[in-house]
Amino acid sequence: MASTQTSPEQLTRPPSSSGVQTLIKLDGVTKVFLTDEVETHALSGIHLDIRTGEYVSIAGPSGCGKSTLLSILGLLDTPSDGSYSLKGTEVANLSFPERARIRNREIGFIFQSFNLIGDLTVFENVELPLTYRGMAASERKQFVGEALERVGMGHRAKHLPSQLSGGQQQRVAVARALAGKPAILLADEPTGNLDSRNGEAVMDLLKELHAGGATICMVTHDARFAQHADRTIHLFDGRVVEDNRIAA
Amino acid sequence: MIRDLRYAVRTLLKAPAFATTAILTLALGIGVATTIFSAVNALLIKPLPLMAEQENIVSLEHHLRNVGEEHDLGFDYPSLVDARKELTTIEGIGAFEDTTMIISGTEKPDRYLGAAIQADMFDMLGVKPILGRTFRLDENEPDAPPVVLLGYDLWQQRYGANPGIVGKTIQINGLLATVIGVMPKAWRFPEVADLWMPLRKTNKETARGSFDLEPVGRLKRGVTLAQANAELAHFAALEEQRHPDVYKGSVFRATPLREAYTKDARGLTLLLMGAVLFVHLIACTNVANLLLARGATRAKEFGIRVALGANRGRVVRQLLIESALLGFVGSAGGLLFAVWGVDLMLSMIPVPLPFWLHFDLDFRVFFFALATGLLSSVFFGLLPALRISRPNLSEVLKEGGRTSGGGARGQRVRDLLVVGEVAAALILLIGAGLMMRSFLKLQRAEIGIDAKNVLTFRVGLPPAQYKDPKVAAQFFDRLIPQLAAIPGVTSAAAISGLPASGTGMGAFTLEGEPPPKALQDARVASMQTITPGYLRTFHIPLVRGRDLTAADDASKPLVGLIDQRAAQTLFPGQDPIGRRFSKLTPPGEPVKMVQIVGVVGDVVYDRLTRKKSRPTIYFPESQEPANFMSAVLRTEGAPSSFANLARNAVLSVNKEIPIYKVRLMTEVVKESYWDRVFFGTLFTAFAVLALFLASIGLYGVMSYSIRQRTQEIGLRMALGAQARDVLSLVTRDALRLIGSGLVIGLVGAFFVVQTLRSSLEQVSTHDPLSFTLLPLLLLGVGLLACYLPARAATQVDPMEALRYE
Repeated sequence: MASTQTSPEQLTRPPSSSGVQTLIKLDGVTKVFLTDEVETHALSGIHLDIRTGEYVSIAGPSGCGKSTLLSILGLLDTPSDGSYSLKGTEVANLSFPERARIRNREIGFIFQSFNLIGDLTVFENVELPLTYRGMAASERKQFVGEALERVGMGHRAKHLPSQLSGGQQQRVAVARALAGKPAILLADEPTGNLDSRNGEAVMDLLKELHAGGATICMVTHDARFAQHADRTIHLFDGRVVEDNRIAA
Repeated sequence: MIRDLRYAVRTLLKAPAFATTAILTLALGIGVATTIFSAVNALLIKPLPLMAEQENIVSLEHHLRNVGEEHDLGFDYPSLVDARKELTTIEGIGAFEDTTMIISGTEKPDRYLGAAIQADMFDMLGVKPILGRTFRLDENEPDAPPVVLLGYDLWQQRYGANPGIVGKTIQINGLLATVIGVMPKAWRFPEVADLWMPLRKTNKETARGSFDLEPVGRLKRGVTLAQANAELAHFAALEEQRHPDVYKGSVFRATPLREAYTKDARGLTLLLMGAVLFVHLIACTNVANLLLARGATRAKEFGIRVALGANRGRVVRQLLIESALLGFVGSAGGLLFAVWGVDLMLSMIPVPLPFWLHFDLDFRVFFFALATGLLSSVFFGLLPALRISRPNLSEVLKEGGRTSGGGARGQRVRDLLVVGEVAAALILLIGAGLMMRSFLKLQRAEIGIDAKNVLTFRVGLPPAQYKDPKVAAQFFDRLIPQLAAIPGVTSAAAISGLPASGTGMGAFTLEGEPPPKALQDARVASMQTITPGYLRTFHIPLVRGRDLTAADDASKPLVGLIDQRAAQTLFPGQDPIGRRFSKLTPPGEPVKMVQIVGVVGDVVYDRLTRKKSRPTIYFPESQEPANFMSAVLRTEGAPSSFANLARNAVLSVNKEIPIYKVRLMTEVVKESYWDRVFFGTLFTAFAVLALFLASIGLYGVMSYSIRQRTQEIGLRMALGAQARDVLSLVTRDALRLIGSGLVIGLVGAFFVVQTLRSSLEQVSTHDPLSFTLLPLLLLGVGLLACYLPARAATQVDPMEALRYE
């Protein structure tokens, strides 16, 4: 299995080169689930590079391994085999606390079901990942304010998620993902729980973020939304069967 | 931290049902634990009031090897004098005697509990009067002018807190004594004394072998208890060498004063503490189960937190702060329960508590409640927190992912906790069952008298007024007929020590036997002085010979009655009537032979919890007068309604003699085992509480398990399962949990109840009834607790359940 000598701490440093560079590199990543003595191969030998600033969509039929791949990319899960390098550092087999630290600093998540904490206000939800970073309160306030303004939800900072529409909740989730200025945004079916109008709005927001330089990796089964990305990867039975780059 | 705390408050406020249940459960557990801790604190931890450097104060005990270490005979006056003179490790040795003091000279004489005390004892104990002075050494001399120290309450109530009382004379036990000072509030040494006079021993009382003193001394600076006891062993050897007839087999021993004070209650109180900690453990287990179930419902929230970068420590901290908050509020509730619990506990104690025993909710109790609440909630919150802090992220975060989490492993943990609860509850139940069986046996114990419809009260004739035994005898000769003449009184008599109250031991030899070489070899019996009519009043059968009569006066040959046990042990196969014995007298005093004229039924004179199979000998009051007697009146109506008439009858004989300890005989019998009733009732209350909490735990776990299996049950029903099949499925699970708990509990109880051995009367620690019925009771209650969730399971709508899937 490939590995580098770079320490996980290096991940928090900004990219050193000025040109386009590889942000994520997967080499032969497999994921096998063992349930009741039955092996299920969710991913089989995935090779994948994602460059800084890319907007990648991952598509494929239900059960093809999209969400598993995203979980591994987001360090929510570990591969059964293979190598995963993030900003040049091998992260496939990091400890639980190290993975938590990298998730917090390098990855912004946008979930299909928003996953906002109902007991926290909009502001507190967006602030949450920053509190785990030990950031000072004044700095947190500034970061949260900027993120909320960017998604157009600054005026709803004191509301609870239950007081917002689905589209607004997803905007807040995007703000939460953005607030910590992560290296990559991972979006898992971000429009899956939204009507078409709100879905379009969220997709426009992602497009706008990408235009601003954000690296985005999105799982979607909706072909319309997949086209928003400048690269589309198709999975089938846990394998990459198509990788299309749309020329700029 | 503040942020976490704020969030914890908000979270609990948003889940009022969970928070209320958890807080109430914790408050119950903490409440009972704190209530009993207040007793442990009072008995074993809190400093004794007003005594300086009390860790060095020791009580001196005297045992005879043959009699056993549990029976402290006390010192005789000569050995006390020897100890004061010869011991180099203990200083200030003094002794006291509890005594009745009658203050008269006003319209109504009043009887108080007092103590005759060695003059320098207050100095040794380090307590100072608030007015006047304490005794001087010369005031111990028999011919010194009488002086008295007043207790604070007496000074307040009888003398209106008049500081001018010092220097005045008051009439005590017929003597004019000068008040020399007033002792501080809360000082009632040795137990509940209201006033003190110097200890003055008469020649008769200072004879060797007259063991009635309880000395207290202070270890000299730098001396350890072991060194003092080594010197006391040497002292015992010296005393035995000098007076083998008295001290052969004597063991003198120093015990820290608190230990001596608390030796009777210490073991049972600690056992009770153990029992309530069991209850608290069960309560905490319920809370842990609640937290686990709640954690499972919050799996998604914590999944999000972890996905966003919260490390495990951070999540655990958040959850522990929530637990600690529950513990804090639970502690406050527990303290409130304890206030009520302590009051309830005190109301169950029928005897006056000694001055040093106060069940206050002081800072130690407060700290205990707080620490118990916080520590146990954090400890029991840790397991759920550790489980929740490591979620399966890709599972809990995905759309439609389980929000109730926990899985099979979580269920196993909850099952294990509830099995533990059932086991703990069974151990408590069996312990309480044994105590209750023991108490019921005591309640039904045959003590040889008919206690119903009998009023008793004590009459004490001050020795100063009634120096001549004949005069004391005349008092009772006049009193008893007056009592008997009260309309409604069918019979009246008096006895030196009532049945079931543990008084009146003496040594004797049979005619023709050589006197014992040492006191410890002597025959001992319960010796009672009675007036004619005593047997009739208590319906004690005369088995052979005759009863004592008024004709058995001082001018006649000495006679006595013995009980059947004495007849069988002293004269097996022989007729005891006409046989003679003599009481063991101090050297130099003439031996007086007493002829046995009758054999009567056996009566228990020991406290029922300290029953020994000793013979009893009765003497007529006119030949063996006693200054302190208990009058007994058999009445036709309610005995308590005769108290005033009896009081007037006594005053008509001597207007300065008050009566005291006015009680029904049935109450006297009950008081002889009140401690067993007290501890038995508390054990039972805690066991019932444990049973209740364990049932709640079972209910919770079964309900949760059924909720988790809704789809499975729905599917089974869709496939044709009947309600009874579902009921049987759920009941099987319940039986598995309860059964495992019962097996563990039975094994645990088998060993744990051994600690109760010394507190049980006529009940084996392996009593088959308790070990059979109580597990069945727990099984029944447990199944009942599972019935509601089981019934709910049978009402699952298969369509709904499958749609949910």
